[in-house]
Amino acid sequence: MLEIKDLKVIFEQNTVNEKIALDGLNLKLEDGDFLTVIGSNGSGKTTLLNAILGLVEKQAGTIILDDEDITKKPSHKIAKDVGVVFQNPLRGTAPNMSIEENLALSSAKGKFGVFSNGTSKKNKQKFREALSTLNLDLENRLETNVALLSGGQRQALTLLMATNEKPKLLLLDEHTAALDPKTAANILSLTDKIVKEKKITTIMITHNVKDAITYGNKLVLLNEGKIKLYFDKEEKEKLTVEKILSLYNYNLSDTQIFN
Amino acid sequence: MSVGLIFTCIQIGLCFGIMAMGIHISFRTLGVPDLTIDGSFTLGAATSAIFCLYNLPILGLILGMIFGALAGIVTGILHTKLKIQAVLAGILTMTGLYSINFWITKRRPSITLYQNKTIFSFLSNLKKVDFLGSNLKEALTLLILLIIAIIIIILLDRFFRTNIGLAIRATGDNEEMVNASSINTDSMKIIAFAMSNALVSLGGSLYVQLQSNYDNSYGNGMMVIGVAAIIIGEALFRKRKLAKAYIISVVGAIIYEFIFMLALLIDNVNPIDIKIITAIIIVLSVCLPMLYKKIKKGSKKDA
Repeated sequence: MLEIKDLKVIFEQNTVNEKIALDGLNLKLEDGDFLTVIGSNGSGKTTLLNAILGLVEKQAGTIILDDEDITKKPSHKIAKDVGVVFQNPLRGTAPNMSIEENLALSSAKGKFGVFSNGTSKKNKQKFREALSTLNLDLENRLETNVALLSGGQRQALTLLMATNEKPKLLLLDEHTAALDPKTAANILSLTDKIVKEKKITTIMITHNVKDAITYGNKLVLLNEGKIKLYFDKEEKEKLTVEKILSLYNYNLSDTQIFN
Repeated sequence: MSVGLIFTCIQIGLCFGIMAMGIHISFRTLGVPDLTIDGSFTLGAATSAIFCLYNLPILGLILGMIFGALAGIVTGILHTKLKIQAVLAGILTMTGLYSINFWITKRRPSITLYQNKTIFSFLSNLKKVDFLGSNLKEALTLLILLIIAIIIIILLDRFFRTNIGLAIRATGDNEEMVNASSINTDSMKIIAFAMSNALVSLGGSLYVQLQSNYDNSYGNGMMVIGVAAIIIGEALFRKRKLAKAYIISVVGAIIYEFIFMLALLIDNVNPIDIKIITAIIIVLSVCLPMLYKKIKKGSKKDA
């Protein structure tokens, strides 16, 4: 369960460049919830994820993940419980290391036997099984350097690395935005499959309104660092792309959308 | 060039090669130039020399390595925890080490060890036994250094396949990803700096015992030699596997030493000019493979 209370993030506070990125944001997710987040550029979506990950300084508020206050935890410790896939396929993997070495690092996640061989035979078998679920034929290329993979393959690998050991929370920051439409669709359905199978609590940021409606069981629209609109499961099913798009153009009040 | 000279070149080259493997960790694996090297090479040399005076050469090597690791940890902490740029952090540690090296040698700028025990002195009886135009002592000294270098290559290769080794390599490759794997990248960098400088110090410790002499200027220019060794090795051999990267660093160091010796052998050369001659030869040896490729491509176009 994730609970965010009154979260405030201000960049360059007390200067002329002061920018309020998150302005007292409140959010609550139950176990297994799949939340999609939309909002125009600069509405605070990415800042929200960075705040959860401990990558930005918070001026106020608390973030509680499974009864543990992670507001002030260092980022590498938060990473133990939170998996993340970013938009840029280059961010999630080490390019000059092989697929198996990347997987060894992610599966070790903070509890590894320091001097044990990460790519032992036993682990290799485990990696092969995990990779075969991607249907990208990566299971036969364990020793290939990740730099030689395509963006889509790298993103699929990152997704696998983020979810292989079930995280308490999975964060997806426009993770298909840099891919071609067909690959993007594949990665999205793969994401949906993994999230549903493992029942991972997930937050997905997207600019694709259709995806935001299709996937997940909750949807929020962020605007100026606050949750402008919130749709639970039933309300979400009634939404259409047109209704949402109209919200980007005009600052409509809640009542107008459902008319 | 006599066989004796060739042996000497390889011996010194192996000492520099062990140091170059250390530099490889910071310079290539981590991707940061660590200028502690000039200081930590002398640190190892000084420690080794002072323990040889008490006829404890092996303890000198071990403590030399440990002190080197400590120097690396200092640079690592300056760089990661105090957020000082890597280059500056290295220079600061190196500057401090200049004084520390004098403390270790009790304010002596140089020490001669011809009367004292070194790890090679048990071979001195073999000086009179001829071997391939040189003597058996030189050959066995070379063999001991070679064995040490090979053990280090095997250990490094093993280490960089363990989980912690993978984490250190990934830190140099994609720091963010290591962080996302819930590994503290600061600790990984500090460990890498420690290992790097421990090997550099060991190189210095061995060098002193090989020369039976210590001088506080031994460390000067070691960073250049180490980087040159790595680059020469990479230019001449293509690196693929991990172990190979260390082997070519050692081979590169030996080749460097040969180049240096050839520069010394030029007739009537003024010692002052040796540095620029070696610099030019290094540039040539690094660029030749590239120039060769270009010329080859050019001739293909003409055809």
